[in-house]
Amino acid sequence: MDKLEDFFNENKDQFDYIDASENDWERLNAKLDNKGKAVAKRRSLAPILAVAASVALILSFALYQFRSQPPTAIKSLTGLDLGMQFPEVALQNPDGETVALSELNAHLVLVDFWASYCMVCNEENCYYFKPLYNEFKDKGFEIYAVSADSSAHSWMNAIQRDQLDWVQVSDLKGFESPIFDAFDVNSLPTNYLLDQEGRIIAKNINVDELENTLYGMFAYK
Amino acid sequence: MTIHQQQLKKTISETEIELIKACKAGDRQAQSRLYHRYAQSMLNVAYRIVWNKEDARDVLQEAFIKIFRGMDALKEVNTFPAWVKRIVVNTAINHHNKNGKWSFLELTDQDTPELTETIDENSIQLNVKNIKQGLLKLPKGYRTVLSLYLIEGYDHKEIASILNITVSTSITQYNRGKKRLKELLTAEQ
Repeated sequence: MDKLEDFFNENKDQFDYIDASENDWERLNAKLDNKGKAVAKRRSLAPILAVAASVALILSFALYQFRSQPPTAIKSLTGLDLGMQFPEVALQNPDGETVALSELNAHLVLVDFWASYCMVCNEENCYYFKPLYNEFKDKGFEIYAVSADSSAHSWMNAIQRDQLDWVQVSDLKGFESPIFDAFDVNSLPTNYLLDQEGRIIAKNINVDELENTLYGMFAYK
Repeated sequence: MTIHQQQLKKTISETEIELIKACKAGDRQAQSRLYHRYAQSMLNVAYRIVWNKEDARDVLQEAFIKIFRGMDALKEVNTFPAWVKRIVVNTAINHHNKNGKWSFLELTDQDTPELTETIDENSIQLNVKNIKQGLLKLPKGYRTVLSLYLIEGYDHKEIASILNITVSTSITQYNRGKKRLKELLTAEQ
């Protein structure tokens, strides 16, 4: 081990260059107040908002009716084992287009079950999947990310915030959605790694194994 | 497991959990207390990315507005410290990119001739003051990678993702930066 690294390890908390001042808090406090004012202002618009809300409600109900027609029936399964064919799934992406797993033209597909509120999933997306995806997407690696969100806003927000460029789909029915039972997903994140024919190579692969697999498969392409 | 991942698992005190709940309900007093618990360390996390005091203060403001407005997104209270840090780091990177002051990638190796002579590990003077000054003398790319790795405890994969560079760039920058720093610490005496 390196002496310099050891030294940092022992003295990590001594590398402050700058001191927080009470002024910083005052500024923040004032900004947080501004938010309060904005809310108060919005309240005076309540009647207009009420009308808008009811229109939105009718629209979303119509949309819900439309959405609740399942794009593809998902056969209920108990237990998906290695080597088995992963069942077909087709859900909508944030643009409202239905994307089927079988449509993906990839040599290796990671089906990832996640949610915007799952911190571990977010970490995994940002720190592990993103670099691997960027490195291997052009060589035939794809991620089919199924979200357990029920709010379209939170879902899309997380995708945009973390710039998740791979396939994103959800039925927006939350973790209660039958999809998760169908694919034997009891906790988030859960993933399945599929080969070109859609057979299950691994379940809940960790990032090191995934990286090794990707390098092993695509290093010479 | 990286130090960063260990931080994720670290549990937080009851007091802090209560504070977080109160903050979610919009209690300003609680926001103040929670802010004051994190301000000093997070200000410095920001500084060690933007390397400018005024910018670091702006980042802190921006980050805490995001934190207090976005607390509903936090389901697992235990992850609060890591969540806060991640927001501060992301805000600092965005702030830095927006200002376009320098690029993490810009720093290539032509300005650093490869050091051939090995450094005698025993001649390195290790003390906080010299290291802090030494870091400031390094090119920003080096010092940012060094501090993300050595002080914030991120691994190279994480740094690559944060700075939008490749893992191998992160490793190269880190090794070269460390060598330069050691050299400075030897010359210091």
